[in-house]
Formats: sequence, C-alpha cells, structure tokens
Amino acid sequence: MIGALLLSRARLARRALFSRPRADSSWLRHPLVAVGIAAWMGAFVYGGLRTVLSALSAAGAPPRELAGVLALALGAALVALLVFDVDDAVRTLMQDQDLELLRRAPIPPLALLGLKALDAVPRTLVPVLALAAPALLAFAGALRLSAAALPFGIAALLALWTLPLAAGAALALLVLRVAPAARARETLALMSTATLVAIWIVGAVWLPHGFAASPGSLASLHGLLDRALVAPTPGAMAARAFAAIAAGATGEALRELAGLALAALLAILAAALVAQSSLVPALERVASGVASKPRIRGASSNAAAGSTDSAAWPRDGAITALVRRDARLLRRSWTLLGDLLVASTLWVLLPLVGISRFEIGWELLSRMMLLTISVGLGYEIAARSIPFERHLEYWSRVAPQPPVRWLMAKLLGSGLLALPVILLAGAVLEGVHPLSAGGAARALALVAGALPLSISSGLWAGLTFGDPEWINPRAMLRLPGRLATSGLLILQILFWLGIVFGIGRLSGRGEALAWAGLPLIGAGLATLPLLAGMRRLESPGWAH
Amino acid sequence: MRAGEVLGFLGPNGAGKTTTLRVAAGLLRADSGEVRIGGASLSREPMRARARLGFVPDRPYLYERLTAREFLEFVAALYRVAPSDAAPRAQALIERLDLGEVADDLIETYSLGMKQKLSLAAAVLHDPPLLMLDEPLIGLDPRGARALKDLLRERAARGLGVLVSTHLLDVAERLCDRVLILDRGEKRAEGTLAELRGGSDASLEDVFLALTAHPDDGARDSSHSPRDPSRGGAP
Repeated sequence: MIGALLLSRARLARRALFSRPRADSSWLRHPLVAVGIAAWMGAFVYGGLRTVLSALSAAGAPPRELAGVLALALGAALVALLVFDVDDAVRTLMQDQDLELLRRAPIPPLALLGLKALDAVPRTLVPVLALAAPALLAFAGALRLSAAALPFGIAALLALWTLPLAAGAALALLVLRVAPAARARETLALMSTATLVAIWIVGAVWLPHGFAASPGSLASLHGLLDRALVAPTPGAMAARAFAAIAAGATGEALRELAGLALAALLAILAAALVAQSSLVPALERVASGVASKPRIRGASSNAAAGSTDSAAWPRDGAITALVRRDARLLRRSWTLLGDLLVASTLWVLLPLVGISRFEIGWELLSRMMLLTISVGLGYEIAARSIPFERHLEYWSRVAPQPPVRWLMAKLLGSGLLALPVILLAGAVLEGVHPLSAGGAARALALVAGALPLSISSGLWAGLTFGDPEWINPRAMLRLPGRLATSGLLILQILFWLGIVFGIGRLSGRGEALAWAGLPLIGAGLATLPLLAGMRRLESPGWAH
Repeated sequence: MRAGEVLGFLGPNGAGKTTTLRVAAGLLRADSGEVRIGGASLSREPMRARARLGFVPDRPYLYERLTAREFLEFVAALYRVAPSDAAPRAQALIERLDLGEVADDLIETYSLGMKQKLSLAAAVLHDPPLLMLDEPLIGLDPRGARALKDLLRERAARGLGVLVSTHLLDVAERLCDRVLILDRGEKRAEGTLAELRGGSDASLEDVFLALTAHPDDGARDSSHSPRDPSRGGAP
C-alpha cells in the first residue's frame, strides 16, 4: 500500500510540474514559477552574504568571526524554518484533500506522518534552498573550502531541514489537539508574522542604529558574532562545524555535526511519539471542526433584528451593506486585526532601514514614514479585502449589483479602515517630534495623494491574485501576487519620492500649488487600477 | 421552464447539470446560446435577469463570521428588498426552516444542513420568479427535507418556477411536475413522468437508466434497462 501511495505522489508531482496549466488559470501559479522565485531568493541571499563575508575576510577578520556571521544567518533561517514548518504542518493537517481518505485507510499513524512529511518536502524545502544553502555556499566560497566540505554541507542542511520540520509537526499536532483548527491556524500565522517582524526590526533597525549610535560599536559587533557562534543552537552547531573544516579540524567538525544529527534525531523521535498518540485525535478534531467551535450568542449587533419589526432593519444601499458586512467580518477576526497592527508598525519603521535619523531632517523622515504606511496599507488592507471575504466572486456574479458598486464599496471600506491607522501613526510621530504647520500640511498632501492610488492598486491585486481559500492571513494573495504587489509598492514609493524631490526644486507659489496638486495626481492615477479591476470583475470564467 | 412548475433536472455524474445551472446563474459564460430569466437576457440585461433569479448552489456561499440574521440582512440589501418586506420575510423563513434558535449565532457554528437551509432562505428572500437549486437535499435531515419540498411546492402553486437538480430519483418522482434528463451535456428527454414512461408502468429509475445507458456500459446495465431506446421502447 505504501508503494502505491508513493507512486501516486510521484504522479502528482510530475503532473504539477510538467502539465500544461488549465486554460482559466494563470501561468504565474505554475509550481515552476515558485521554484524560480526560490532560486532568485537564494541567489539574492548568496550574493548578499558572500559580499559581507568577503569584505570581512579582506579586512582581516578571522574565520571564527565569519563563522559567527554564518551562525547568525543559519539561526535566522532556522527560526524562519520553524515558523514556516509549524504553519505548514497545520495547513497540511487542515487542508490536504486526501487526509480524510488516508485517515480511514489502514495506515498506521507513523506511516501517515511520514507520507505527509514527504508531501511537505517541496513546500518546506524552500526556506532551506533559499536561506540555509546559500548561506553555507557563501561561507564556503568566501573561505575557499574544498569540495571535501560538500558532504558536511549536505548533512548539515539535511539536519537543519529535518529538525524544525519534526519539531514543527509535533508542536502543530499538540496545538490542534487542544485548539479549534481555524483559530489555531490563524493564531500561528499571527505569531509567525510577529516573530518575523521582530527579527526584521532587530536586524534592519535596531542593530544598525544601535551600532551606529554606540562609540564601542565595533567591539559590540565582535561580541555579538562571538556569542552567536558559541550559542547552543543548531545554526551555531552547523557554523562551528564549518569553522572547524576551515581550520582543518575534521574531527571537531564531525563532533559538531554529530551533535546536530542527534538533535535532529531527537526531534524526529519526539514527532513520532506525539504522532502516535495525537495524530488521529487531531485529525478527528479537524474533521469535526464545526462541532468543536463554540457558539457565540448574541453576535448580532442588531438586537432588535429578531423581531419582524422592519424599523429594526437598516435601510442600507448596496454599498453601505457591503461596507457594514466587511466591518462585521473584520471586527470578529482579531487575528487579522492584530496582523494589521503589526504590519502597520513595520511600514512606519521601514524608512529607518539604512537611514539614520541624524542624516536627514525629521520632517522628511516623518513624511517618508507616512508615505510608506499609506502605500503599505494598499496591500495590508485593500488587496486583502478581496480574498478576506472569500465569496466576492460568487456574490458579485449572482447578485443584481454592477461591478462598480462592489469596487466602490471596497474602496470606501478600505479607506475608512486605513485613515484611522494613518492618523494614529501621524499622531505618534507628532508626539515624538512635532511638525510645523507647513510640514504637517505637506505630509497630509502626500498621504492624500498616495492613499487612493495604493488602495486602488491593492484592490486590483486582490482581484487578480487573491486566494479565497486562504488560511494564513499573511498569505491571502498567491505567491506571484505577493511578489507583484511588492513590486508595485516599491514603484509607488519611488514614484512619490520622485515627485517630492521634484517639488523640492520648486519654490514659492509653484511649490505650494504642486503640493496641493498631489491628491489630484493620486486620484487620477487611481482610476487606472480601478478600471482594470472592473474589467477583471466582468471577465468571463473568472469565478470558477 | 414554465411558470408554476417544479422541473427536475436529472443526469448521471458529469452530465453537465451543475455547469448548466452555473451558466444559468451567470457564474459561467456559455459558449453559445442565451439565458433568459423572466424575459430578461442574462447577457444583455444582467441586473434585471439576476434580480429575477434565486440560486441555491451545490455548496453554500455564506459568510462564516456573520449570523444568519446579519447574512439575510446583507442579502436583502444586495437584492434591493425594502426592510418592510425583508424583515418579516426573513423571520418567517428562519422559523419555517427551523433556524430560530441559531439565527443569532455565527454561521461558522452551523452544520452543513443548517447552512443549506440558510442558503435556501437567502435565495428566496427576494421572492424571485425563478428558483434554481443544485442538489439542495444534501445534508438536510428528514424534517429539513420536508420543509424544503413543501416550500418548493408552495412556490410552484403560486405560479413561480422551480428548477431542481438532484440525484435522488424518488424525490424527483414525487416532487417534480416534469423532468429533464441530461447526459453528456445533451438533453435526452423532457416531459412529465407519464410522458417519459410512454404508457408503461416503468419507474423513473428504469426510464433514467435506459436513457442514460451507453454501449460501453455493456451488459452490466442491461438488466436495468427494460425500455432501452435503441430497442424501440424509448419514450
């Protein structure tokens, strides 16, 4: 039976990779596109790390310090892997269409776990190939390690892949055994976002600014690299093994790798034990998800709605009804609200990457912060508002409402949600360092120009790339959509910065008029994605 | 479709029943031909045509984190039903379909049958001239199935059209005024049960199996095909 199951997996993989996509599905959704994206990310990581390591090496840093950088990179990769694998294990347990069939088949829990781990290989291998493998290659390249290091590298990667996968699967099973599946999934997704944002803030904001502000920054950096290398973590073990290889101490390298392999074996053993006792109960709980959810009494905000009194029913037009529905759905999705707050913080802080606040004036920095959040919310709110409700495709086709009303409702709803977030960010920035009246007016004009364009672009992206079957609030767009949206966000930020730079060259009345014209530019440009979105809503075969 | 009738839409798996209903509901565009609902062309007057149709799809498209009442309130606004009509209609449907106790609970807590009932309530809330249902009995308990059948018969008695796609031949036999049998995307037969029987005492099951038998089905189905059309006994 296991042989037949493996054969079916091989067939599925072959068809996924080499079959022609369906006529109604975009080529951007082809698995080979994801492979290409992973390869591109891997090349990016390799290039960055290779540059850093080569520069350190040229500056006379000893191999131990380079290994410290490798330990930091592998540590970050491991955190990403763990977060990703827990997420993926829960998704597999909740979503895989053949799970119910396999659960009923006479397959022991351990074999089922192994089979699902095999299914998860393509998905969980991406962080290994895009993060850990390029880091090891960059280290080997910078220190000119011989080909004899290759088996060590493969063994280290195998352990670094297995360890978080096994630990993640065990953790996921334990969580699913006690928590409602959908909520557990969303909570894990929120935790993963918060973790990655924390890593990002430390890596991109705190470390550079902390070191820049400290007179003993170089000594601190040495200390950090040293601590990263001696830490009792799997990433540090792999880095120590490679440092030993670079120093010609093969025995020490083998000892470190043996420790890493032991850790991976222990994780596998833990996963096996947990699967033996918890896999079937967790699957049963997922399968009967409806019964496991608590009933919420009095959820209706319309207390009188239970009566036949028509006065209790709101006299909504379609647009108001759509906005009201989205507000209700959002109010009850605390994971998405939490994610929105975390992401908003990230967007506000984005301009601090690579920019010291001492290098540019506060007015320009705060203006850039408000610009990035205005542009970012186009993705965070508008793009996600389409797949968020899941059934836009169906209701926009069946209900007697023209596409323009659906789009206007989404535009209005996204704007109503984005404005308080931006106002809050503006108030915080004003509290930190008050702006002059002119500075505040200029920042406001920039927001008023950027927001309509970002929201309308986001709606277009949501209509084009939205995944109505999403279970991770951060992944409501398909991967190509997230990449396309990232490109759009960068383009918008560059566009507005260019405009601001151009206005800076004006003076007097011309400058004032140019600032006042920004909202008009934004509104004018916003019509283009809205028209494209409208065509998307009207296009045949979009719904199914 | 004729006004005031329940038309059963039958066919084997893969015959094209769901595809046909999706085309008629505007979810898919037809390669050729035209859909008219209450005289309005779905392609030329889509808003008017959609307003005249109620559709219960094979899987309910509901918002899990709304309550039933909130969902019906939303659907009423989409279909431009005045609150003075919508509120009592929604309440009557909720009571009739046995959803009263859960009407203020989130839909995510509902069973499949309860979701199916709510989907039905949403489809008839605007009292459309035509109601189309795709496998509506899936997930319904006997009481729910009876409530559904009664509601469909009442609508037909009021002169409204009902089109039901179903695999359950005994239900079609008892519920429908006429049936249309579809096979491999083509209409095989259409008429009242008496017309399909052609004067014999064959059951709808016999007629269905005979009309949808294929040469490659071989002898396996021949025992079920007393009125095989190829032997001259077809209605």
